[in-house]
Amino acid sequence: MRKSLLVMAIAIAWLASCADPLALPLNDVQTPAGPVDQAELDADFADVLAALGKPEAAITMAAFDAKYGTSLSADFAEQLAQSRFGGDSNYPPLTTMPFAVDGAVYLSGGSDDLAGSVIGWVAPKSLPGGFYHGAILDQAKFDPNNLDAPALQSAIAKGAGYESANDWMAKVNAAVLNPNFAVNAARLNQAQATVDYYCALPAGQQAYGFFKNYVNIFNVVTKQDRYWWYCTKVVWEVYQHYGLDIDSNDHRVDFSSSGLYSLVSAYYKTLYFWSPSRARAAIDSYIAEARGKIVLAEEILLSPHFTKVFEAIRK
Amino acid sequence: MRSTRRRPTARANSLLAVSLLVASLLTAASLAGCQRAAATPLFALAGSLRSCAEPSQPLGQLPASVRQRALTRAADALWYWNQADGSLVRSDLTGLEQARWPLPAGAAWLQGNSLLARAETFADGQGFEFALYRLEPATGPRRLAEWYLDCFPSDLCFLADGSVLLAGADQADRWQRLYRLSGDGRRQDLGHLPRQAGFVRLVPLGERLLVFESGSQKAKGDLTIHLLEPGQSLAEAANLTLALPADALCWYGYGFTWQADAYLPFARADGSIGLARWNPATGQLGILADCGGVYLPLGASSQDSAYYYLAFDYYQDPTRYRLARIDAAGLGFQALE
Repeated sequence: MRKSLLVMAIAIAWLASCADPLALPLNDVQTPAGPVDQAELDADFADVLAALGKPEAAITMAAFDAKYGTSLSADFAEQLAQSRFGGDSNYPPLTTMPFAVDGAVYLSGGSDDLAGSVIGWVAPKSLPGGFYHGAILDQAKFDPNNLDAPALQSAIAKGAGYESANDWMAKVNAAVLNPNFAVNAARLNQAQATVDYYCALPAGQQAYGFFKNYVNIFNVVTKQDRYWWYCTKVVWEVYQHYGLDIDSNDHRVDFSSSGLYSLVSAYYKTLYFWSPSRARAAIDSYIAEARGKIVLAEEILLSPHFTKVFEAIRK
Repeated sequence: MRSTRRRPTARANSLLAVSLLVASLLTAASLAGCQRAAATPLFALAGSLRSCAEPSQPLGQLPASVRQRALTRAADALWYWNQADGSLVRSDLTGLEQARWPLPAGAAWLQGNSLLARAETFADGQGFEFALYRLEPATGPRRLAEWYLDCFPSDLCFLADGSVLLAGADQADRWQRLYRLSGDGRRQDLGHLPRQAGFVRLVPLGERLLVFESGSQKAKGDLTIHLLEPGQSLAEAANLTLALPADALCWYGYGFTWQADAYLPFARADGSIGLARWNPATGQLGILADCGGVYLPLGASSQDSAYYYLAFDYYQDPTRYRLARIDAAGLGFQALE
């Protein structure tokens, strides 16, 4: 008896020594289903990712939350509400938005006009305006007598695309950034034409995506990737060809406020429910890598190469 | 609601009298093409459906994502294409929806019972996909034909035979091309002009066609007009120069025809926008001093013998749209609140 008590005490002491110094709250590490099967978790998580930006996102996230005890529905409450109510805003057009400088960068947020795209759901929105969408003005295509003319290079959910001045004046929140350096017009035109080539790639040689294979968060598209494109990467690419890196990687951009963080957090906390520290390490590692690989609207907003000349935040 | 009226000059008055006389000698049938006829034109502005009847009051609400060129009146119905959800809607004349059909696209232009749609994405070596539809009141859009064109449309015009003239620059901004697209799938290439700094505009004159380049800025530019006779291409067109005032800088805005006259807006050195009224039959030219910018020709109204356009001068005041009216008394404006 005494011997068995001793063994038990040693076992308790050993277990105690293994206690995680970075332990998360209990409800973060337990799943209602108990120990998880990774293949099953991956399949369920893939369903969540595939539903991002789509009407089925609400029901898919709710099912994931119920099964694994996560909080995706709460984390994405704003996006889910917008998805239900549609993207047509009643805000008056931003008629004073300038379209005067070739190469000016346009950022938008606060709406679900890209409800079908993943970037609106995953980008950090830690700064006023919640900017996540971007475009760059090709002044040569701006027609002051037809504000519906496609003149701003971007990427849209269905692939390469242009947006019009009217499209941009309809944004809920928007900012315009002018280059704060003397632009070499010929060099900028050449850079824009290079990205035009991206816009002209045939189906099968390019695709819209923030993640490779569209919604696999473990394949974050690098800025250098030639196949997958998203809106802010188009903006970055133009200036990369021009000779400037406009990805500030500024640490004021708080990734923990992003949908990407919520997703990664839900996945790793479920997978490593038995080790909060391992989950935390995996999350931190992922976010650190993603921060460097991708370029987001808020990172461009904080680029020292631009001066904000217009901002409207209405939501 | 404020209405102002600008009297034409004495010279313009005499020209107006001549042009009205010429107009009376022409049949309405000779003015096919882009001229919108008869009923009071309707237009969309900031989510409102408006009529050109004075005073212009909102008739009803439209989704804010209905673009101005994506709306047309056909008899007692209104058709509009909603960019936000890619749908085509038939409504009554207050905007009240009667029927809806999916029509995904990047942009759409409607006139009468015709619709031209441009796809959202641009395919390598081909361009945007354009599709021509006929609008059937009961069954909605009927797709007639499609084409891939490297064309960023700057103007288009539906013709009486159901075909459409389409003009625009290529993606590389090297050329501005002109096409005629027919419902049976034919594509006629009507030539090209080098892309300078402007945007090609089209003004049908019966069977003939005026082509000019509207500047992107109010700056010294090309004031040539290309006149295409039936069957001609741009290469065969006559190049005309009108005796515009010395301070004319470039064509600027959209042109239109009314009562046998072509109305062509031009930028002036003082920043204003003049309107040349030119009769190709007589060669007579009159100038309306400040037209406020011809942003969107809306059409003629048979009810009050007037022509309306949406006046807008982006560089003068990007917040102000006005309804402009041309009649025998001259040019007048209504503020649009």
